[in-house]
Amino acid sequence: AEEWKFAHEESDGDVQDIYAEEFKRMVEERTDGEVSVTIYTYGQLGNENDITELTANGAVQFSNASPGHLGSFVPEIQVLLIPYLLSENEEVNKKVLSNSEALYGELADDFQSKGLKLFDIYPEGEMVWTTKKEVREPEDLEGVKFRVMTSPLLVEAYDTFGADPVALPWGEVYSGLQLNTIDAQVNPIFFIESAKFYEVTDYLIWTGEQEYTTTVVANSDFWNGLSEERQDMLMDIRSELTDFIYEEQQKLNQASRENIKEEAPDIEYVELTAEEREAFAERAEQLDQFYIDEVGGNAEEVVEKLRSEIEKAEEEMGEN
Amino acid sequence: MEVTILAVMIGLLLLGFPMMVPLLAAVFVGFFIFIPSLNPNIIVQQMISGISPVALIAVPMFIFAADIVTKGHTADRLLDLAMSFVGHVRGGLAITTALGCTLFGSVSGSTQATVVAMGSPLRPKMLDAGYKDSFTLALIINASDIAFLIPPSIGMIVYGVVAKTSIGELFLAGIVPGLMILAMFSVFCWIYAKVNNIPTQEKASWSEKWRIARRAGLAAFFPILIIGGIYAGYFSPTEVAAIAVLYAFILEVFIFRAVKLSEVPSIAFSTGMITAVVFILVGAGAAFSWVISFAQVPQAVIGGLGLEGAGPTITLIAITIAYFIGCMFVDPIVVILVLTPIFAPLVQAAGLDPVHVGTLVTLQVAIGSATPPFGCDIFTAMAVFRRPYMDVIRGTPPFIFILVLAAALLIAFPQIALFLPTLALR
Amino acid sequence: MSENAPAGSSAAVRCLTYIDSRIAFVERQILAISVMLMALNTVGNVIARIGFSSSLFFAEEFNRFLIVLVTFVGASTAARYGRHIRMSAITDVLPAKPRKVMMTIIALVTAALLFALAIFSISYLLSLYQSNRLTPSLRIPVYLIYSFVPLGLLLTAIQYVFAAAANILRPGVHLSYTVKDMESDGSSSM
Ligand code: NA
Ligand code: NA
Repeated sequence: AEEWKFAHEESDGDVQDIYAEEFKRMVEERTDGEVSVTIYTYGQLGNENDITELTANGAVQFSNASPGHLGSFVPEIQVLLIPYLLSENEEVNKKVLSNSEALYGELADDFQSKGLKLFDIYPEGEMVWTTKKEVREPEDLEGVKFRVMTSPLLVEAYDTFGADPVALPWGEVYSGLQLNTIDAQVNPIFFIESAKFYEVTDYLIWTGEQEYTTTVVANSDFWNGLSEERQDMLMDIRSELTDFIYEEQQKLNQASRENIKEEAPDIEYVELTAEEREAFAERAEQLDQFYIDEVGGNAEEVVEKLRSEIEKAEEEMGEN
Repeated sequence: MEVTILAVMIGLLLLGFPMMVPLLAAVFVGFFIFIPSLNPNIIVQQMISGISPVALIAVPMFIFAADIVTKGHTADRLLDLAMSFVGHVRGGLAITTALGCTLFGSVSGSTQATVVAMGSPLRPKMLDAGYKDSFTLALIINASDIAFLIPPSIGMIVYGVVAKTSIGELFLAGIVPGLMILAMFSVFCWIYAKVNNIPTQEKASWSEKWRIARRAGLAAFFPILIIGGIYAGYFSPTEVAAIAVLYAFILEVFIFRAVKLSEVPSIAFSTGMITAVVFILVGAGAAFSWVISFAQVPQAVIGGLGLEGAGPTITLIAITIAYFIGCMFVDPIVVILVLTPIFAPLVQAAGLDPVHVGTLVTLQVAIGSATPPFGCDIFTAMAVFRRPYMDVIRGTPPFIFILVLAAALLIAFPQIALFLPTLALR
Repeated sequence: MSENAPAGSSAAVRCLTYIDSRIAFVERQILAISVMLMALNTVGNVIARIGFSSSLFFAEEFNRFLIVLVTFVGASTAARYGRHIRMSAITDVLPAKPRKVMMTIIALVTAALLFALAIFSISYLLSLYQSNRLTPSLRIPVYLIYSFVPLGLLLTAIQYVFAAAANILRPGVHLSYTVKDMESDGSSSM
């Protein structure tokens, strides 16, 4: 039997793992066992960059990569890191992220030239800030050492919000928070639970900033070598997975929210009001230009097209 | 596949090939014989990836700092200060070494950095005092590994994330076993000193202690800067390594004037060479771990054991042995990443406390770093102290025995680990 | 190295010896400067973070580059001075003749392995070059950052070829071209 390998960046039971497991189940079922899928969880085949590279050179067939990491292969994909870019309407995001011409069309050649095929994009949950003091407006972030993933765009974004961004590998985040070398970090709530960051924080803040998105890439030679039938099967599986993972992701994040409340009852939950969000969203607007300057290539087209796609979908579906 | 690879590795190792050869040859066998479809440039990718973690920068930095302070006065003055307090105790210097390695290791986050930073100044003193080199080296590498159990511990963070277990509880759970092992090592030091009749110094008077402390002066501030700097939140473990270099440099070159400015580049050169010797093995080890992980060797081996439905004690013993063996050959962090998900269902089925399991796993990781045949601390000690392999490991059996005893105690009495977290959090 | 060159060696050998001594010099400078830069870079980053509330955005990437540079260039230096770690327990007890044979085989096999690895690393660099990967912060092509890898591996392999040559051409057992086995301070029997 044929074996497809699927490597992701998270642990057992996290969003990417749920996606991969369901992918595996569907593929194995629909090929009548002709294909078996082997899943590699976080770190088993190296770090985030490694697994993308392994996909590009064909050692694994599928992998997850977050836009920050994938940015070193196809820089334009970092558009997904721009805060407040996506809609507040989940249905809009669902539609755009699984069909966007800006992402799947414009960038297809770029992906192809790196040996990759962009297979799917889905959100893993809303970004939540963990902080040690209440933050409601940009001024509150003054002097706050805010950990972000290593990406110039994210560093610029949190600088724009008013914080002091610190790029740190995640292995140092927990002790950094515990020992106060950093004051804040940002991640989806399920990951905050999973990595236990709630043990070393005081506030959880929902800023409406952005969904944390991940991409699934396939090896392009592998993809092109598949029979049309297999490709169609995978595209069917993909579209079924879209609904599946949105639902699972929301369940998981909701559960994490409850679990943290139970585990650490002292933590304050802060939801910014629409007005308060606006103050941050306004500052985020200048990031389009930073993204265009930083990334070059057809970044300008990508961000403009994506924004118009989101706008159009919002018009069709309503903003909320 | 497992047997062939193992045979190649051990064979080449025993025949006296440079240590990177057995590791790389095993990787080549895995690639070309068992997974021939793979692109061999992954080997290079993994070697580079293995030496890329930013935190590894602490290793050359502490080698650099240790070299400077050992050439200068800082190390001597600090040790004189320590000896003025413990010199009259039987085995006092050895116990100080154990304590120093534990403390330093727990903050620096790197056992290799600890072997260098504590070993460089302490080893000559211990040899002068009459301890055998084999005992000294084994003490240094094993005591450095206790640090895995004392927070902050990268091993526990990784385990906590993969096993979805409270890192805060794991940190608390490691403290008592860590101190217990330190106490066991200290007792062994005392016995060793008594049996081998290591002379003690005369007890220093308080005025003498004060005189030595004053002479230590700024040097005494060195450990305070490192340990305090991290726990007070001024520096990350990586940063403190560079701060140590800066402090050592200013102190020795400008204040004590014990090291000439013109000597610094040659110290940096030797630091670079030692770093290369150790890191080329870290890289080769990473490539090796990758092949094992890619071929799903652990899954096959553990799946074949038929552990489903085993009771808690059997499961714990199986986990202990699996991690122990894994860490003999493969990088400890990779062992955690690969084995933890495999054992997760068994842990749950047996109704084990994941914090208890995590403490036990961390202990195996600690043991593994110092256990032959492959252990990064062994390599570091060989590179830094320029001693042959056999000299470095000759003295380890009693320490490994103590550590295995500690593991057995931890299996038999979970409260050793769970007592503190229960008290504090549950 | 020149003082160890066998008497009456040919011009070719003298030329090689000279080239090697120049390479040794360059490696020495690279290692010393890289390690000092690592310290400067990391200290600078702490000062920037504490003093000016901002990290040097390139610090991490630069350190990573230095580590790769030091590891692979240093591997060659360590081979030249016979400093690579090995388990010598068995070879140490062999009589001189078989030990010499063993050392020759060890050096040749090691060299072959490293040559192969150097070739893989060139192929790895080519794939990085073709995909034009850039580092996240400084946006430098990744293949440039790693270009020292094949060079270092190649130089290390050549050191082992020299070690084999020393064992074949000269009397005595040699750990490397410059270092005899079991020399003075025990360093050689590592
Ligand atoms: Na520690
Ligand atoms: Na080991």
